[in-house]
Amino acid sequence: MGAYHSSTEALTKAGVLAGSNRLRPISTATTVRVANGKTQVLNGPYPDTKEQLGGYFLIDVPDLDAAISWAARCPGSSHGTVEVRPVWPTRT
Amino acid sequence: MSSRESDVQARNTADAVARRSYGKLVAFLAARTRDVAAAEDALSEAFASALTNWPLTGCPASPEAWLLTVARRKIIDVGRRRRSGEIAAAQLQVLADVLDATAADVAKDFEVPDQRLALMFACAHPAIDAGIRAPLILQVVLGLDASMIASAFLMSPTTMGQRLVRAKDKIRQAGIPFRIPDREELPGRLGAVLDAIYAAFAEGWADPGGTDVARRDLPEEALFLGRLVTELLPEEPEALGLLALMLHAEARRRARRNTQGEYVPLAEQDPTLWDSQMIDVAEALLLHANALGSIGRYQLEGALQSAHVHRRRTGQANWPAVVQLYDALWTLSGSPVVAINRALAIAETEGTGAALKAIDDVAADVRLTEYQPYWAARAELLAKTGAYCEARRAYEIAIGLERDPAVRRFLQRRQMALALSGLQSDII
Repeated sequence: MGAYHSSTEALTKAGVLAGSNRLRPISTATTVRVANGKTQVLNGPYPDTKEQLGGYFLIDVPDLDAAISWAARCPGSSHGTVEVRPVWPTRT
Repeated sequence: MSSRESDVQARNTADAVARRSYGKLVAFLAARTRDVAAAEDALSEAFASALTNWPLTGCPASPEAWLLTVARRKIIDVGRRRRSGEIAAAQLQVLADVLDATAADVAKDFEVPDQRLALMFACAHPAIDAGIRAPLILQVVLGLDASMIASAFLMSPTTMGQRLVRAKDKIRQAGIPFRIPDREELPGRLGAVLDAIYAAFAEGWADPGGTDVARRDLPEEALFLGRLVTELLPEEPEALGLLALMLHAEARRRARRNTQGEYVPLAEQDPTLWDSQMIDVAEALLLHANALGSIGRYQLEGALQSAHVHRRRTGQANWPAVVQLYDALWTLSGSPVVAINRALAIAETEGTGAALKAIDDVAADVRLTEYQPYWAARAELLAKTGAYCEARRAYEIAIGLERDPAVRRFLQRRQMALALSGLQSDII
């Protein structure tokens, strides 16, 4: 966790961090789906995949290259994969 | 001037600007919005307006500035209409100001800032699918249309069109920057740009007769891009190496087919048919690259070509140099294709036995089972040792794998000659 701490620290110092969260393991997941007006609540994650989303960082950077260089510094990219995705812009 | 004459003049001016500045204008317009498709659309509308306006008003002093101003207005109109939030109003205003300021500069100096290299780096970004990078560069920098690119890359026009659109969407949505990477990043990134240019060249190279209209221009366009990169990055040895490699190959174009259109292998080509001026330029580029002191794939391949055309002066290829260069390439790439060529060169320096051994060492590589030159090389070497039966089988497979009819006929002739010598040896 120390590595994550310093990586978060660096993001904050650079003024690019807009939010981040670690997610608890998928054993704690609950799936919600509404079908025919009925809410179905299931115990467990939606798809059974090998890769799990462990958390996210929301960062505000000018372009993909900047995002990639932050992703490469994230400890997760050394023992797993970091997926970089743009967010939909919010209407102003 | 009659209206006809002014029509012609407008068209000629527009054509000249398109040839000279298309890529520059797209790069300039797209660099700010990262929206390549919008830049292309706006520019083509601007060209259409030019063709209706210029005959009436006369051609402007700076056609580029005129086109930029009109294209800029179109981009902003589209942005306003869309208002999807992708280009927010504030951004639109910034964009308008920047474009205005630069259009004014352009009008003053008659010069569009050249951002084509930045555009090429965006197109060859690692986030873009490697297979679409070369087509994308050809389209956005040179303005080639999707169906022409599709036929050159043996892809259906629909598929090519969709993949190009997707790639442009990716540039815009993922925020791929239009910039020349920093010095420390450059080696990795430049490679992708050079690879894309070489892929375009190689696609055109596959049609040496120049009978396929779509593919005929590709080597020329690739050479243009190669020159452009060396002009913009004059001290990058690999960029120089690539240009040298392409010039060397291009210099021998005429010698690759005889008057009947049959394939002529390098060893049997007539050196007087080679373009010696082009070879001299290539040699000078290689020397310059070499002086910069950082070797790489394209310089090695360029140097290989150079060792082959050694024959032009001495009547003999410089085989020891060829083997050495393949050794270096093999260390660098570990490519089985390199190993095969290396084996053929070894046949010239150390004899057939050593060459067959070298080829056997890589024969286990599954990638080779469908690779025509592997089977042709094998057949050639086996024939030299007198193993006619095995050689014939290897030729059979090589013929079955080749898609160029002229090369197929060449292999068939070799196989046939083998059948004759095999027959003779049976009789004796």
